[in-house]
Amino acid sequence: MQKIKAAIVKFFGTNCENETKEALETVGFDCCIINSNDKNLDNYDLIVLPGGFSYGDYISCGRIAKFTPVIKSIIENLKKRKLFILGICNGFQILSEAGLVKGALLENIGGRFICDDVELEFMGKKFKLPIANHQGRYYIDDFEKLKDYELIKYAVNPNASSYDIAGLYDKNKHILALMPHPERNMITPFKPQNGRIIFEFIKDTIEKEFYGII
Amino acid sequence: MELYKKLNIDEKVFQNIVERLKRLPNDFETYLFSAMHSEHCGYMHSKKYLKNFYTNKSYEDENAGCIQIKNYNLFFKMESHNHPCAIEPYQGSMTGVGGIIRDIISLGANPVCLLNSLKFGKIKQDKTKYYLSEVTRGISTYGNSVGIPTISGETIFDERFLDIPIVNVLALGLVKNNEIMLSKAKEDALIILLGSKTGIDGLDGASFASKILNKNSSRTSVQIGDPYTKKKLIEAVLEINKLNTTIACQDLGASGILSSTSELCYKGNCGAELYLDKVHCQFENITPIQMMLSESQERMAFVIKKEGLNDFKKIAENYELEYSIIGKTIKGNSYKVFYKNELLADIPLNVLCEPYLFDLKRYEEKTITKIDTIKSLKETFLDLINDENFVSKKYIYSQFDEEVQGRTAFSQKENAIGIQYLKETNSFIAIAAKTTVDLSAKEAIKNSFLYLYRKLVSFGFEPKGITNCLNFANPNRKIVQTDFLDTVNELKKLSWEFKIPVVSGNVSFYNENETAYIPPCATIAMLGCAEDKKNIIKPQIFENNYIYYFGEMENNSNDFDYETKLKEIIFSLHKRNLITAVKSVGKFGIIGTLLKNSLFYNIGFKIKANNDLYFKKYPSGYILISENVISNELDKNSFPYSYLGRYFGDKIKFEDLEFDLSQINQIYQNKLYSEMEK
Repeated sequence: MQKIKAAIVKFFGTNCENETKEALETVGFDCCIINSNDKNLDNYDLIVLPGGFSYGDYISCGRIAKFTPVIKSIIENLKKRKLFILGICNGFQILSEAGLVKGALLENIGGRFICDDVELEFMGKKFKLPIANHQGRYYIDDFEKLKDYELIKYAVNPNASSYDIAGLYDKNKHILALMPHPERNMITPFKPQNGRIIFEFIKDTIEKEFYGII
Repeated sequence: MELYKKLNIDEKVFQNIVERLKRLPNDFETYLFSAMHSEHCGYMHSKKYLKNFYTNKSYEDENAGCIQIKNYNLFFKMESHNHPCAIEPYQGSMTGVGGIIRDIISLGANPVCLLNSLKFGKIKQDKTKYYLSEVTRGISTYGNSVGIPTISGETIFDERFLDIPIVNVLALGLVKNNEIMLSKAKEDALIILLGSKTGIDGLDGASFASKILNKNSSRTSVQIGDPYTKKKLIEAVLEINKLNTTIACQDLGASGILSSTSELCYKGNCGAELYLDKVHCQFENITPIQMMLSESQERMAFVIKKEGLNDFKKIAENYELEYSIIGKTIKGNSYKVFYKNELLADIPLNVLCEPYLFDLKRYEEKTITKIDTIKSLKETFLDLINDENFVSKKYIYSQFDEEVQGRTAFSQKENAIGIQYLKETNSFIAIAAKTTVDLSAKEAIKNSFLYLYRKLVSFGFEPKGITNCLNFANPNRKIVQTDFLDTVNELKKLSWEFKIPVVSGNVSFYNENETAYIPPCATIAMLGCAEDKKNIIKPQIFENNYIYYFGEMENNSNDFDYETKLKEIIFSLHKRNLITAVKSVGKFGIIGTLLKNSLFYNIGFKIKANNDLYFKKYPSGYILISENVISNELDKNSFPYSYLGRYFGDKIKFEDLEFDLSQINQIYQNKLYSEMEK
């Protein structure tokens, strides 16, 4: 099978697009960086909203980005075809603002930015990834609302997120939203290859669910 | 009162201006001189003494200096933002970061990391808590948003900085040899301003930073940062600087439009005509003087060929950035400023850009006789573990994004050193900053230099370059002149002896208020390189590892010979896989160093050493950690060594003392957090 095509969306203020691209390429994706005005997503099976501070996080994180053409196009595409969406950090915030995942992201307790390595649990695997956010405290009022989701959980909750949630995976819509940064833990020498767990999961899922390759 | 007096221009300086101008400057021009001939812009008390460092000449008069790795240049520079931080620490530290980034991007270099050196009063003081939380938040907000990792730093708590916090920030950037953009204009080209609108924030900032702080120090002298616009500006500037129609680039920092445009033309041997009515401003009734002196952030100045205008416009529009063509370069050396067809200033650039330089004199050295009270080992240890300078700085560094750009090789935040992989050159860099504030000026800079040298060596890095940020009080004080001269002379000597270039530097005087002044506070940052992953010593400590103390400089031995020989031995031990970690020893002696490791790897130790060595500050040897006995190897060379003991268990043991590691860890991890939450 030829390489899976992925688009990484760069909004003004996005700052993780290059390392995210490099990480995806390492795992075998064919990537390009597109901007917030690009509406035509027909070529892609994966759309990535990378980390950063889209539109300066002004008003609230992700609040302005959700009004861009690319997000509208993502919503349209999801209605009519299979498409995998990955939101990392600011990408998670945008997905939550756009109503594409349930729950909200609030300011960390103490109002401080937190950059740290955290232990995670996802689909039976335990591994460490870095987090770096200011508004990363996941909040949901009712656990029942998460029944369609596979959860990525913190082993030790760094910021009082509801139910220790670090990320969510919507099994039906193929939307993965993560506060931790998988791309930061694989492309540099000396780093463990933990980020691969996430990107390979995405690749396997697309191959299996979209193309029936087992 | 005459205007120049009101504007704080020294009598000698003003006479010098009049003599060279051969007339009295008009009021508008006097304002321009007050900014350009301020200490902050003109380096009037220091310039004469900043020559003759060992340096790689190439970019001496640029915004930053560099070292080379393969076909890339690494530009780095450190700058102070002390005065703004004393008045408005959040905006002050934000714009400190913003300013140093501009110095790097103006050279066409892509910023890859940031670093800081901070000094505050004691943590128990409310004022310290305020400064610490606001400065940290400022650096965090700005650095994180623009996507440049803050990879290391130092924080010193000392009562002498209570009212006068010291905030120094460093930026490092990478550019291909053939893509460097200089700040030398050429005649017959356009002068363009790109970025935020000009307003009245930071008005008069240069003059404000050139005198002591007092109760009239105004918050409007502090600039306001906008990291979102800066992020766009960084990307746009790097694109514009790649156009072959771009001639020169300069950031707008102190004295904004005035200093950037005048320096561009002065360095490029041409003149300038500015039309201030063209400047894009925040509001209509801003005055020409305000426009010239405003330090509104997120602005850059370019000199471009006329035919490059369309390409320039395209890039600016892509990033949704405003710009204005504010003038042109001309033949000759006149700096002419027009506003609504009226000529406001016409000054020869050499008079504007070359201020009167003062002489400094070395006075009889004031000897610091600080007698440490003799304490028992137990008391000393308990003081150590409760010392706010020893405990974890996680409260601070966890607010800085260390990983963005994905270059950090392995985190050493507890060790205050940043280690980055540069994929562009397929090599590694390490960088750390150090200030010594408890020794005489001369000893302090030497101590910082050797400390950083050993620190880089302990991770397997070859020291390659230095930058500095020299923070002092009022240069009219005799003690300040003496300390300053001692500092620069010692740094010159060391840079020549070790052949490590001083690539850039910054001087900040007048760090005092009406009641107090800071001690000599010379910060240096040293950059090291490792071409190969194999050269890097990534510290690892395991149960039952052996601990040695290796080396000790004799009184009459030569620094350079001693340090380089030790370095070679350590690199060779590492190459042969005989050691698992190397540690340089700092202010808290070998106990402090070993304990930091214990806390990080959660393993206790038991050692026996000479009584004087346990807490000896900055000893000249290294700690070597090994899996096996390495005495045979260490016997092979002429340097002294001693076997100290082993890492094991969950206790810290030396002499007849025993402490519980987990209890120490509680204090170590929580002290700053609990103080800050009080």
